[in-house]
Amino acid sequence: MSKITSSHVRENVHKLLEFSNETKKRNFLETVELQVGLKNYDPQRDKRFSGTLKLPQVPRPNMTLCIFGDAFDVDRAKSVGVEAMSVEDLKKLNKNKKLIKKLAKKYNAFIASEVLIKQIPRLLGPTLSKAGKFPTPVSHNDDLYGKVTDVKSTIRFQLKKVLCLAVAVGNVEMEEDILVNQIMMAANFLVSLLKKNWQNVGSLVIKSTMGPSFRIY
Amino acid sequence: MKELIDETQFEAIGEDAVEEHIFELYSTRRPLDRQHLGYVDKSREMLNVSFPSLQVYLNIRQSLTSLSSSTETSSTGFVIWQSSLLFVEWVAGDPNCPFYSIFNSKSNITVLELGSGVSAICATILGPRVGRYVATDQKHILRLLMDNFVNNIDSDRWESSTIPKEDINSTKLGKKGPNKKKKVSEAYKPGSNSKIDFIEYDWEYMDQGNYNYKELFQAEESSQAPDIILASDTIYNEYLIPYFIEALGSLLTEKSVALVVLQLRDSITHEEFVAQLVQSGLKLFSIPETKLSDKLKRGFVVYYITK
Repeated sequence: MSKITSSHVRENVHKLLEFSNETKKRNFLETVELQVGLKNYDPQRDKRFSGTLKLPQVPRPNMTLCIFGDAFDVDRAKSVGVEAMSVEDLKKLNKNKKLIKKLAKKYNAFIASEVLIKQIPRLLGPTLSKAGKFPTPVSHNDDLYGKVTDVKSTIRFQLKKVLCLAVAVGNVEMEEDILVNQIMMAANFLVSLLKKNWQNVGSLVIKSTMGPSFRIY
Repeated sequence: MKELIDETQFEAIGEDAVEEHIFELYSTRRPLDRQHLGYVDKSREMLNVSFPSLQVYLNIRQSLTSLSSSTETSSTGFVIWQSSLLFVEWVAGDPNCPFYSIFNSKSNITVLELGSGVSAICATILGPRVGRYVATDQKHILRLLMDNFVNNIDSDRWESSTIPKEDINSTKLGKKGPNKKKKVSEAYKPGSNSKIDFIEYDWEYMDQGNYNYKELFQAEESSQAPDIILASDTIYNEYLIPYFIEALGSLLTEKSVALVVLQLRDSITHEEFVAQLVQSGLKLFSIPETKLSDKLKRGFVVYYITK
């Protein structure tokens, strides 16, 4: 049983969009985040969860992506407008920790040619793993544009050692209906990840990058 | 047991390969579109679990109230997790599985399962196929674990020194209610009874657990170390890792092997387990994707561990 109703979420989405699009419009595309406060959860002893969910729409169209590609994929990357690095480019980083950290920070997610996956940890060390940014493999038969959209639409909930987490579910240019749906899907999925479901949820809040918070639970 | 298994078909993971192994797993074997915590169904206490390939149909009771109780004894072992289902289906029903021949026909080996949980799926299906099966977990799990076993086992050729006599009699006499379907088919050839037992083994109190195990063999001439140790989805937080590895190390002998199934969840916890296991001196192998069932290929990993 869901403890949040779409009409209640809609009310708050309406206020959020009103603030960001009318009261105080920013000159960049604000992201809408779902912020979660957990309770009755012992991150040390309970199952440390990590869940992924593909949303119907890309929450952040301008999220940054980089493809670690072989010649074929580096070439294709240009045609779909995504940045790419070849093995040679990765080698040039020379295992320099600072440069690799910078790379891991610069992009929100990575895609890698299937054939290259095994080489990447040797080229880049543990930095990407530590950041949880494992590349999604792409084969030459895959539609690269589709893959990019998949990666951009997939949100990830990962419990770390603290009892709060946040995930981007949309942006302020989305239609109200769509944003409500994205939030409902994300919230219900998150709850399904928790051992005690709603009993583990302390609060759910939606917030645009620069706007005020709206509590939906 | 070890000599029966060709280790060269597995991927050995040495100390310097830990990072690469985790990287590859979480890049290539993570399900992309939807991945949840891995329970089978958390909305009902009674679940029908079917294994069409094994012709096995189980009615399993899980305890949602115990799962969500806020006391010390709340444990993830109170509900059924996907990994056990997929693991049993694979070892008992998939000829491509390297261990299929061991569990496909009745053998005389001894199997010990760590962290069984309440479902008794492995004990019910694999127990009758081996000479001796010992399912273990924390004390508060055992009652429901035994109940589920007794309610689902459909063979007469087993005995137990840990299940109360009256429970055994009621099953064996078939007083299971009028509408019970035949559940576990007896696919194996006739032989002597399997001994199937349930004991407390809390990894945090390994010595007590090992004592409980030895006690099972009191009436016999010598205690018998397990040939195979099974563990399904037992690594999910960092706290328990050292206890689990230590218990595993104490149970393994030069001849025995362990099979550990994990669901891919948090890469950091997972890497910690692999790193500590390799450092402990145990030998770790990953079963290659080509040997896994389609369902295990995405989102799970099976480890083969020896001393």
